[in-house]
Amino acid sequence: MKKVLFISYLPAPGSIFVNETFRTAFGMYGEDIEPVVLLMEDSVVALGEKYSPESLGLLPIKTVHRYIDRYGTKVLAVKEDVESRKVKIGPEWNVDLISKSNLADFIHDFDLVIFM
Amino acid sequence: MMIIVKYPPTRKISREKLSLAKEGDVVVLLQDAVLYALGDSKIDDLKQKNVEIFALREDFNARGYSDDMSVVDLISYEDFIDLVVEKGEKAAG
Amino acid sequence: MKIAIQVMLHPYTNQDVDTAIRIAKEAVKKGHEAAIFLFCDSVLAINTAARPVRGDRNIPQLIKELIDMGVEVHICGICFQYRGLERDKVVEGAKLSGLPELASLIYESDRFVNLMA
Repeated sequence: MKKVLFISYLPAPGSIFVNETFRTAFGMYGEDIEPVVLLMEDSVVALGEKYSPESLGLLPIKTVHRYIDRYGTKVLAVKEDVESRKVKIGPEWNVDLISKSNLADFIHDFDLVIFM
Repeated sequence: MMIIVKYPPTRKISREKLSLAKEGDVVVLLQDAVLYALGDSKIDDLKQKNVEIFALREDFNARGYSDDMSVVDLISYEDFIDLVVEKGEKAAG
Repeated sequence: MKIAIQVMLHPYTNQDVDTAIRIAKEAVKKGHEAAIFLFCDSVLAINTAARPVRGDRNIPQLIKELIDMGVEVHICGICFQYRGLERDKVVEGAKLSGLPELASLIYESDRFVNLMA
Protein backbone atom coordinates (compact mmCIF):
# COMPACT_ATOMS: atom_id res chain seq x y z
CA MET A 1 0.00 0.00 0.00
CA LYS A 2 1.26 3.43 -0.91
CA LYS A 3 0.41 6.44 1.22
CA VAL A 4 0.00 9.53 -0.92
CA LEU A 5 -0.60 13.04 0.34
CA PHE A 6 -2.22 15.47 -2.09
CA ILE A 7 -1.65 19.08 -1.13
CA SER A 8 -3.74 21.90 -2.54
CA TYR A 9 -2.32 25.37 -1.88
CA LEU A 10 -3.54 27.54 -4.76
CA PRO A 11 -6.38 30.05 -4.33
CA ALA A 12 -9.99 28.99 -4.65
CA PRO A 13 -12.28 29.60 -6.43
CA GLY A 14 -10.02 31.73 -8.63
CA SER A 15 -8.36 28.51 -9.65
CA ILE A 16 -9.70 25.00 -10.06
CA PHE A 17 -7.06 23.25 -8.02
CA VAL A 18 -8.94 22.48 -4.81
CA ASN A 19 -11.50 20.57 -6.90
CA GLU A 20 -8.77 18.93 -8.95
CA THR A 21 -6.89 17.84 -5.85
CA PHE A 22 -9.96 16.09 -4.49
CA ARG A 23 -10.80 14.59 -7.87
CA THR A 24 -7.29 13.20 -8.14
CA ALA A 25 -7.36 11.80 -4.62
CA PHE A 26 -10.68 10.03 -5.29
CA GLY A 27 -9.17 8.53 -8.43
CA MET A 28 -6.63 6.64 -6.31
CA TYR A 29 -9.04 4.20 -4.72
CA GLY A 30 -8.89 1.77 -7.64
CA GLU A 31 -5.35 0.88 -6.56
CA ASP A 32 -3.83 -0.08 -3.26
CA ILE A 33 -3.24 3.57 -2.39
CA GLU A 34 -4.32 5.51 0.66
CA PRO A 35 -4.84 9.13 -0.39
CA VAL A 36 -5.01 11.97 2.12
CA VAL A 37 -5.85 15.57 1.19
CA LEU A 38 -4.22 18.57 2.86
CA LEU A 39 -5.37 22.12 2.19
CA MET A 40 -2.93 24.91 2.91
CA GLU A 41 -2.28 28.53 2.01
CA ASP A 42 -5.12 30.08 -0.01
CA SER A 43 -6.84 26.75 -0.69
CA VAL A 44 -8.23 26.71 2.85
CA VAL A 45 -10.75 29.35 1.74
CA ALA A 46 -12.72 26.48 0.17
CA LEU A 47 -13.56 25.17 3.64
CA GLY A 48 -15.53 28.27 4.61
CA GLU A 49 -19.16 27.77 5.59
CA LYS A 50 -20.25 30.44 3.11
CA TYR A 51 -17.83 29.48 0.35
CA SER A 52 -19.93 29.55 -2.82
CA PRO A 53 -18.08 29.55 -6.15
CA GLU A 54 -21.41 28.68 -7.79
CA SER A 55 -22.61 32.23 -7.00
CA LEU A 56 -20.05 33.34 -9.59
CA GLY A 57 -21.08 30.61 -11.98
CA LEU A 58 -17.95 28.62 -11.09
CA LEU A 59 -17.66 24.92 -10.31
CA PRO A 60 -19.11 24.15 -6.86
CA ILE A 61 -17.15 22.29 -4.19
CA LYS A 62 -20.20 20.58 -2.71
CA THR A 63 -19.92 17.52 -4.94
CA VAL A 64 -16.74 16.40 -3.20
CA HIS A 65 -18.58 15.61 0.03
CA ARG A 66 -20.40 12.67 -1.47
CA TYR A 67 -17.08 11.05 -2.36
CA ILE A 68 -15.38 12.00 0.90
CA ASP A 69 -18.23 10.23 2.67
CA ARG A 70 -18.20 7.26 0.33
CA TYR A 71 -14.46 6.66 0.57
CA GLY A 72 -13.80 8.04 4.03
CA THR A 73 -11.08 10.29 2.63
CA LYS A 74 -9.08 11.98 5.34
CA VAL A 75 -8.91 15.77 4.96
CA LEU A 76 -6.58 18.11 6.82
CA ALA A 77 -5.93 21.82 6.77
CA VAL A 78 -3.11 23.95 8.11
CA LYS A 79 -4.36 25.64 11.26
CA GLU A 80 -2.43 28.90 10.88
CA ASP A 81 -3.64 29.30 7.28
CA VAL A 82 -7.27 28.75 8.32
CA GLU A 83 -6.93 31.30 11.12
CA SER A 84 -5.07 33.96 9.16
CA ARG A 85 -7.72 33.84 6.44
CA LYS A 86 -10.55 34.05 8.98
CA VAL A 87 -12.13 30.89 7.63
CA LYS A 88 -15.03 29.54 9.63
CA ILE A 89 -15.10 25.92 8.57
CA GLY A 90 -18.47 24.68 7.32
CA PRO A 91 -20.22 21.93 9.33
CA GLU A 92 -20.18 19.58 6.33
CA TRP A 93 -16.40 19.32 6.57
CA ASN A 94 -14.74 16.81 8.83
CA VAL A 95 -11.29 18.37 8.83
CA ASP A 96 -8.34 17.81 11.12
CA LEU A 97 -6.30 20.94 11.68
CA ILE A 98 -2.56 20.56 11.71
CA SER A 99 -0.13 23.13 12.96
CA LYS A 100 2.60 24.36 10.63
CA SER A 101 5.23 23.25 13.10
CA ASN A 102 4.07 19.62 12.70
CA LEU A 103 3.92 19.63 8.91
CA ALA A 104 7.48 18.46 8.25
CA ASP A 105 7.04 15.37 10.45
CA PHE A 106 3.58 14.79 9.01
CA ILE A 107 4.61 14.71 5.35
CA HIS A 108 7.47 12.33 6.08
CA ASP A 109 4.92 9.62 6.93
CA PHE A 110 3.94 9.45 3.25
CA ASP A 111 5.53 7.67 0.32
CA LEU A 112 4.59 10.50 -2.01
CA VAL A 113 3.65 14.10 -1.37
CA ILE A 114 2.06 15.74 -4.39
CA PHE A 115 1.58 19.50 -4.41
CA MET A 116 -0.97 20.54 -7.02
CA MET B 1 12.77 11.95 1.25
CA MET B 2 13.57 13.79 -1.96
CA ILE B 3 11.99 17.23 -2.26
CA ILE B 4 11.80 18.78 -5.72
CA VAL B 5 11.27 22.52 -5.98
CA LYS B 6 10.71 24.43 -9.19
CA TYR B 7 9.36 27.85 -8.19
CA PRO B 8 11.68 30.78 -7.46
CA PRO B 9 12.55 32.04 -3.96
CA THR B 10 9.92 34.78 -4.27
CA ARG B 11 7.04 32.27 -4.38
CA LYS B 12 5.75 31.51 -0.92
CA ILE B 13 4.95 27.87 -1.64
CA SER B 14 8.48 27.33 -2.81
CA ARG B 15 9.80 28.50 0.58
CA GLU B 16 7.15 26.45 2.41
CA LYS B 17 8.27 23.33 0.58
CA LEU B 18 11.86 23.88 1.62
CA SER B 19 10.74 24.31 5.23
CA LEU B 20 9.43 20.75 5.15
CA ALA B 21 12.87 19.22 4.67
CA LYS B 22 14.38 17.25 7.53
CA GLU B 23 17.84 15.94 8.24
CA GLY B 24 18.80 13.28 5.73
CA ASP B 25 16.52 14.61 3.00
CA VAL B 26 17.69 15.60 -0.46
CA VAL B 27 16.48 18.81 -2.10
CA VAL B 28 16.68 19.32 -5.85
CA LEU B 29 16.23 22.80 -7.29
CA LEU B 30 15.14 23.01 -10.89
CA GLN B 31 13.67 25.60 -13.24
CA ASP B 32 13.36 29.00 -11.50
CA ALA B 33 14.15 27.47 -8.11
CA VAL B 34 17.80 27.44 -9.19
CA LEU B 35 17.83 31.11 -8.13
CA TYR B 36 18.17 29.79 -4.58
CA ALA B 37 21.62 28.63 -5.60
CA LEU B 38 22.77 32.27 -5.66
CA GLY B 39 22.41 32.27 -1.88
CA ASP B 40 19.35 32.43 0.35
CA SER B 41 18.57 32.10 4.04
CA LYS B 42 16.57 28.96 3.22
CA ILE B 43 19.68 27.33 1.81
CA ASP B 44 21.61 28.23 4.96
CA ASP B 45 18.82 26.65 7.06
CA LEU B 46 18.88 23.48 4.98
CA LYS B 47 22.64 23.16 5.23
CA GLN B 48 22.40 23.53 8.99
CA LYS B 49 19.83 20.74 9.06
CA ASN B 50 22.20 18.49 7.09
CA VAL B 51 19.92 18.39 4.08
CA GLU B 52 21.74 17.71 0.81
CA ILE B 53 20.94 20.33 -1.83
CA PHE B 54 21.46 20.15 -5.56
CA ALA B 55 20.54 22.47 -8.41
CA LEU B 56 20.27 21.52 -12.07
CA ARG B 57 23.29 23.01 -13.81
CA GLU B 58 21.62 23.50 -17.19
CA ASP B 59 18.70 25.37 -15.65
CA PHE B 60 21.19 27.54 -13.72
CA ASN B 61 23.42 28.22 -16.70
CA ALA B 62 20.42 28.92 -18.95
CA ARG B 63 19.50 31.75 -16.62
CA GLY B 64 22.86 33.35 -17.28
CA TYR B 65 24.78 32.15 -14.23
CA SER B 66 28.14 30.44 -14.25
CA ASP B 67 28.87 27.41 -12.10
CA ASP B 68 31.10 29.36 -9.71
CA MET B 69 28.13 31.53 -8.66
CA SER B 70 26.28 28.61 -7.08
CA VAL B 71 26.40 27.97 -3.36
CA VAL B 72 25.05 24.44 -3.86
CA ASP B 73 26.26 21.45 -5.85
CA LEU B 74 25.26 21.56 -9.50
CA ILE B 75 24.16 18.40 -11.28
CA SER B 76 23.29 17.41 -14.82
CA TYR B 77 19.91 15.97 -15.83
CA GLU B 78 21.69 12.65 -16.13
CA ASP B 79 22.89 12.95 -12.52
CA PHE B 80 19.35 13.90 -11.55
CA ILE B 81 18.06 10.55 -12.81
CA ASP B 82 20.70 8.72 -10.75
CA LEU B 83 19.73 10.78 -7.71
CA VAL B 84 16.03 10.02 -8.20
CA VAL B 85 16.84 6.33 -8.45
CA GLU B 86 19.13 6.40 -5.44
CA LYS B 87 17.27 8.74 -3.09
CA GLY B 88 13.82 9.31 -4.53
CA GLU B 89 11.84 6.36 -3.23
CA LYS B 90 9.95 8.73 -1.00
CA ALA B 91 9.35 12.01 -2.76
CA ALA B 92 7.65 15.37 -2.45
CA GLY B 93 7.22 17.57 -5.46
CA MET C 1 13.19 1.17 -12.93
CA LYS C 2 9.99 2.91 -13.98
CA ILE C 3 9.93 6.67 -13.51
CA ALA C 4 6.64 8.52 -13.88
CA ILE C 5 6.38 12.28 -14.25
CA GLN C 6 3.27 14.42 -13.82
CA VAL C 7 2.77 17.86 -15.32
CA MET C 8 -0.16 20.22 -14.96
CA LEU C 9 0.47 23.66 -16.44
CA HIS C 10 0.36 25.04 -19.99
CA PRO C 11 3.11 24.11 -22.42
CA TYR C 12 5.03 27.08 -23.87
CA THR C 13 3.79 29.31 -21.01
CA ASN C 14 5.77 27.26 -18.50
CA GLN C 15 8.93 25.17 -18.55
CA ASP C 16 7.26 22.12 -17.00
CA VAL C 17 6.53 20.11 -20.14
CA ASP C 18 10.07 20.79 -21.36
CA THR C 19 11.48 19.60 -18.04
CA ALA C 20 9.31 16.49 -18.18
CA ILE C 21 10.47 15.70 -21.72
CA ARG C 22 14.09 16.12 -20.71
CA ILE C 23 13.78 13.95 -17.60
CA ALA C 24 11.95 11.22 -19.52
CA LYS C 25 14.60 11.26 -22.25
CA GLU C 26 17.50 11.01 -19.79
CA ALA C 27 15.72 8.24 -17.91
CA VAL C 28 15.30 6.17 -21.08
CA LYS C 29 18.92 6.81 -22.09
CA LYS C 30 19.92 5.33 -18.75
CA GLY C 31 17.90 2.21 -19.41
CA HIS C 32 14.85 3.10 -17.33
CA GLU C 33 11.21 3.10 -18.34
CA ALA C 34 9.51 6.50 -18.32
CA ALA C 35 5.94 7.73 -18.40
CA ILE C 36 4.48 11.22 -18.48
CA PHE C 37 0.99 12.04 -17.28
CA LEU C 38 -0.39 15.28 -18.71
CA PHE C 39 -2.97 16.83 -16.45
CA CYS C 40 -5.11 19.99 -16.72
CA ASP C 41 -3.73 22.52 -19.23
CA SER C 42 -0.61 20.51 -19.95
CA VAL C 43 -2.77 18.28 -22.20
CA LEU C 44 -2.38 21.03 -24.81
CA ALA C 45 1.11 19.68 -25.35
CA ILE C 46 -0.20 16.81 -27.51
CA ASN C 47 -2.10 19.01 -29.94
CA THR C 48 -0.38 18.62 -33.30
CA ALA C 49 -2.33 21.62 -34.60
CA ALA C 50 0.00 23.83 -32.55
CA ARG C 51 2.01 26.21 -34.73
CA PRO C 52 4.89 27.65 -32.71
CA VAL C 53 6.89 30.48 -34.26
CA ARG C 54 10.03 29.62 -36.18
CA GLY C 55 12.99 29.20 -33.84
CA ASP C 56 10.89 27.85 -30.98
CA ARG C 57 10.63 24.15 -30.19
CA ASN C 58 7.73 22.08 -31.43
CA ILE C 59 6.51 20.40 -28.25
CA PRO C 60 4.08 17.94 -29.88
CA GLN C 61 6.94 16.85 -32.14
CA LEU C 62 9.25 16.40 -29.13
CA ILE C 63 6.56 14.31 -27.48
CA LYS C 64 6.28 12.18 -30.60
CA GLU C 65 10.04 11.58 -30.43
CA LEU C 66 9.69 10.52 -26.80
CA ILE C 67 6.94 8.08 -27.66
CA ASP C 68 9.14 6.67 -30.40
CA MET C 69 11.83 6.14 -27.75
CA GLY C 70 9.32 4.07 -25.78
CA VAL C 71 8.06 6.65 -23.29
CA GLU C 72 4.39 6.27 -22.30
CA VAL C 73 2.51 9.54 -22.64
CA HIS C 74 -0.86 9.67 -20.91
CA ILE C 75 -3.41 12.43 -21.34
CA CYS C 76 -6.09 13.15 -18.75
CA GLY C 77 -9.24 12.48 -20.79
CA ILE C 78 -11.55 14.83 -18.91
CA CYS C 79 -8.97 17.64 -19.17
CA PHE C 80 -8.73 16.90 -22.90
CA GLN C 81 -12.51 17.12 -23.39
CA TYR C 82 -12.78 20.31 -21.35
CA ARG C 83 -10.36 22.00 -23.71
CA GLY C 84 -12.13 20.87 -26.86
CA LEU C 85 -9.14 19.06 -28.28
CA GLU C 86 -9.69 16.75 -31.21
CA ARG C 87 -8.72 13.10 -31.26
CA ASP C 88 -7.32 13.24 -34.76
CA LYS C 89 -4.93 16.00 -33.69
CA VAL C 90 -3.43 14.00 -30.84
CA VAL C 91 0.24 13.09 -31.14
CA GLU C 92 0.36 9.53 -32.46
CA GLY C 93 0.89 7.04 -29.68
CA ALA C 94 -0.22 9.31 -26.82
CA LYS C 95 -2.90 7.62 -24.74
CA LEU C 96 -6.20 9.14 -23.72
CA SER C 97 -6.24 8.04 -20.11
CA GLY C 98 -7.72 9.19 -16.87
CA LEU C 99 -7.31 9.07 -13.15
CA PRO C 100 -7.41 5.25 -12.98
CA GLU C 101 -4.31 5.23 -15.20
CA LEU C 102 -2.71 7.90 -13.01
CA ALA C 103 -3.45 5.77 -9.96
CA SER C 104 -1.81 2.79 -11.68
CA LEU C 105 1.21 4.90 -12.57
CA ILE C 106 1.54 6.12 -9.00
CA TYR C 107 1.16 2.61 -7.67
CA GLU C 108 3.33 0.74 -10.15
CA SER C 109 6.12 3.19 -10.83
CA ASP C 110 9.25 2.94 -8.76
CA ARG C 111 9.69 6.69 -8.77
CA PHE C 112 7.28 9.58 -9.22
CA VAL C 113 8.46 13.05 -10.18
CA ASN C 114 5.80 15.67 -9.62
CA LEU C 115 6.34 18.85 -11.60
CA MET C 116 2.99 20.43 -10.70
CA ALA C 117 4.31 22.81 -8.01
